[in-house]
Order: sequence, then C-alpha cells, then structure tokens
Amino acid sequence: MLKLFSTRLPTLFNHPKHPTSILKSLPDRFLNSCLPSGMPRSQKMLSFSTYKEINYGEALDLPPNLKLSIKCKSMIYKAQQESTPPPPTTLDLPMHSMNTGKSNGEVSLEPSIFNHEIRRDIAHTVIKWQLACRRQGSAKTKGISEVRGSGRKVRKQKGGGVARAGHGRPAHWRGGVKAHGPKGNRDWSYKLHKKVRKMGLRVVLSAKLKENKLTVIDTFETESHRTALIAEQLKNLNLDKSTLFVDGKEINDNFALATRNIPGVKAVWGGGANCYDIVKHENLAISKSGLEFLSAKLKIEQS
Amino acid sequence: FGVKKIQNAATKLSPFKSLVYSLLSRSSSSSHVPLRLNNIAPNPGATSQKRRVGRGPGSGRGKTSKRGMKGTKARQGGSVAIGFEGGQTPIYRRLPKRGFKNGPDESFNIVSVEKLYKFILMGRLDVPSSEETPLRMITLKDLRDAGVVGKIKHGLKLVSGNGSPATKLPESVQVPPIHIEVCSASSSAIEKIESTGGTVTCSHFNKLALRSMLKPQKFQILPKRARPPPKVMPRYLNFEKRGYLSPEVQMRNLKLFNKPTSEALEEDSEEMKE
Repeated sequence: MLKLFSTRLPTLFNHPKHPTSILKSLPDRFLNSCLPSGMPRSQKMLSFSTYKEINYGEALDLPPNLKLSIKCKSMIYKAQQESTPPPPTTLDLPMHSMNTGKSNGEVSLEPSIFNHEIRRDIAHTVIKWQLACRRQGSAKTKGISEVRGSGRKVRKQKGGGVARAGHGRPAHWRGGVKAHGPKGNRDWSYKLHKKVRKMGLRVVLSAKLKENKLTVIDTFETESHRTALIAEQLKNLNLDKSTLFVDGKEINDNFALATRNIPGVKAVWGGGANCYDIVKHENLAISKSGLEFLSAKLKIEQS
Repeated sequence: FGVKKIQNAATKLSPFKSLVYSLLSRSSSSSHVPLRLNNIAPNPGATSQKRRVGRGPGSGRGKTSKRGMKGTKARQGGSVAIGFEGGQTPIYRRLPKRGFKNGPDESFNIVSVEKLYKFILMGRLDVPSSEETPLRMITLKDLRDAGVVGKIKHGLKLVSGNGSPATKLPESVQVPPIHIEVCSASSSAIEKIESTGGTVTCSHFNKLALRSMLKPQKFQILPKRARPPPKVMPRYLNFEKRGYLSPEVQMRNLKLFNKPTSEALEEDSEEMKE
C-alpha cells in the first residue's frame, strides 16, 4: 500500500517562496526524517531547493491533483543517488592487474556460482548462523551461591503475618538472585547444513556480480610489503575503501602485510570467503587463483 | 538451472522505496535491490515466536503457566513413574508372572566362502600346499590370524555367499581346493567347496576347545577336545552336514590328513620328533 501523505504544513512547504527562517526554527528530528541521512545540518537547509530540480513526473505517473510530501521526494532523491547500473549481461569479466590498474585479459565465470538465483532468505540464514557462532556467550549473573548474603534465617517461620523466608536473596526479593540467569558459558553456535552454507556463498557472489561490485585481479603478488605503495595501486582501481580481497590456497604474504593497516580492507585466502564479509564489504576483488579455488569448491556439476 | 523459484517477499524495504528503486533502474527486468546486511530477512512463515510461559496475564500463559492448580504435576520435577496408576495396583502387578527365560543364544559367527576366496586371491590367507604330505586343514586359528574373522564367540559357520550378488567373484576366477575345518556349514557352502576338490569338516568346539585352538600359548599342555553333548550329537554324526564323527568323514580325513580332525594327536608329535 502506498502511503502518499500530504505535508503537515501545506502553507509553508507548498508555497514556492518559503522563508528560510521558518526552516531554521524547525527541530533537527523533523529535518532528519525528511532529508537523506549523513548530510550535515548546514547542507540540509540548502537542499530543499534541489528537490525542485528533480522531475518527479517521469519517475512516477502521478495524477495532477496529487502532490508528493518532502519525505517522498527525499526518498526519490536518495534512490537516484544510489541507483545501481544494470547488471552485466555476460559472465566474461575483464581481469585487471594491480600494478598498472588496467585490464590484462578476460575471465569467464561459472554460471552456477555467479548467476545463481538471489535467495535473500538463504543469505540471511547463513549470516545469522555466522554471527551466532562467533558469539562469546560470556553473559553471567550471580547464582544463589555467589550472590552476597548469608544463609541466616531472616525471620521466624510462623507468627509474623508475612511470608516465610529462609535466606535474604530469593529471586523475587530486592537484591536477590537472578533465577535461571545466564551462567557465562552459553554456546550459541549451531550446525547449519553444508549445502545451505555453500548456496549462501553462491547467492552472495552472484549478488556482487549483479551490483557490478566484483572485480577480478590477475595476482596479488607485490614486490614490497609497504602499505603506502599498495594504497596508491588500490586507489587507481577504486578498491581502497570497504573491499574484500579473496586469494587462492594461500594469501600472498606481502599483500596481506601491506593491506593489514588499511581500514575497511580485508585480505583472505579462498576458504576465508564467507557470506558476512562479502556482504559487509562493498567491493569484492578475487584473484585468478581465488576464482579457481571458489569454482572447485562451489561448482554445481550438471549431470 | 532447474532451481525452484521461491518468492522472496521480505526485503525490509518499504513498498514505496522498492517501487522507487524499480522505477529508477534503467532496465525494468532487473529489479535488484542491493544485498546488504540491513535488507536481508527470512521468508515470511519461516520463523515463529518462542513460547514463553509465566510472563503476565496478557500472554494467556501467565501465573500458573498452564500447570493448573497444585498437585504433583504443578511442582518442580513433578511427574510420576511409568506405569503408575494413582495408587491403584498397576497392571504389571495385577497380572500373574508367566514363563521362563531360555538360556543365552549361543549362535555361531558366520564367514562366507566368497570372502575366503577373496582373501586367498589377495594372498592374505595361506592355503597349505597340496605337495605337503600329509595335507593340513585350514583351522579356525588360521582364519583368525589372517583376519578373515574377528572374534569367534561360540564357533564358526561356513556360508556360501550366493545370496549377495554384489560380493560375488566372477566365474572365470580359478581357486585352489580348500580343506577347512569349521563348526558347521550350509549345504550350498559344502557344494561350493567340494566342487573345486576341497573338503569340509564340521567339529564340535566347547569353550575350552575354542580357547585351546585360538590361544594355545595359554596352555602348557593342550587339553583333549571333549565329545559333543547328546543334544547336539546327531549333527556331528550326520554325513550330509559333514560331521566329524560320521564314519564317511572320518575315513576320508584319515586318508587325506592321517587324522580325523585338526587336533594334533600324541602319536603325531612323537613321530615328528623322531
């Protein structure tokens, strides 16, 4: 159901010339709800004018008597900023080299891995399992033997007109024990079907390809372990922020050392590719040996 | 790919936002919302809330937490034993005892002729060569040492192995004649072995005889084998079952091996010494 709601103050906002002083007096939470998040407040004042530039008639076929609220307009504005380019039609990707930043050749990807149906529920299952397995489970409350207090009988068994009490820390008393509370040794891990885990990887890899966030690099071999040198190379490839690098059987030592200190960048061997990291990092860069490793692991052979 | 297409309804986007995404994407066929940590969810109907008891009247399971009022079942650890009928004499005490329990089943372990042949062809079981005079029988100890059988509890029965076609050897395989001593043998096993020119002897082993056969190192003097008890005697007198007490089997064994069973006789040892 679409909720196209009219604005709360039509005289203020539908009027073409609204004074900015009224805007300045508005509370932050109102502005935050309308405008794209992450914008500094100084910019939010000025951006009201940009909404007029957007042509809403093309995006939505609205009848002339309906008008969009500022929230709707901001959502459209946000969506336009984030709109994804169309997914690649072929499974042949260009292979880049790290030193030059240019394409070296072409690689054809396995359709069973990289053109898998996007099952978001499976991705959710696998990521939830991953995060549960890594839980420490160390939440602890004091048990009856640990909570401070003696075992002295607090008052007489009979004759008080009040409930009987043996010690001063029962669960329903103030300062009392937490009954059946966490004991500091809870294991949150559980087993998930191996085939589901593999399907999760296929789903997430094909999602990255669809969003054009997948790049193939020929090797991660670098001459030195210096971070500064690698950072430049990655910047040329637009892989310096929030990227996951997946190598083959072993991650190249120099590369691992060099990228260790770059925030948002993580370098793993082929088996370290997991759904959570792939979804968390915006970009995904796989080496050629990494592609071989993953295709050997995840390929579905059609009989 | 032949994968069943399932509708992924819950993407945690508001309907307006998903509509906007779909309209603003350049190609209408690709309505792909980017897969991020904040827009994945299980399919509707996949999850259900846990049942939590004793959390207020609004839940419908508060206060007594569906246990009713007092009584054994309402208590912690409160349950009755299986068969308890509230104090009334239970059925397993109302009815009389009946019958007796027969002694433990002393059945033989089984080994198939196909398995024997396989071990011989692999070289794991040594067949005593026909050039030695007198011939020697393959005993239970030989089978155990070769690993054909693991543990022999009360005896060993020889079985043909015709019933399991998977483990059957091809017919072109040539097998040497086998002379074997076991506790009992099925008729098809006897046929199989005697068709190649071998012999089967079925002897009786009680507990002591088995022990002296399989672990002779535990004895200073090997005890003589006992005769079978009367109940079991008929099968060892029967030639069809190749019983060692039947006259045909005894005559045959004396000709081939110079002794009726694998048991070493005192006369033999003296001759060997000389």
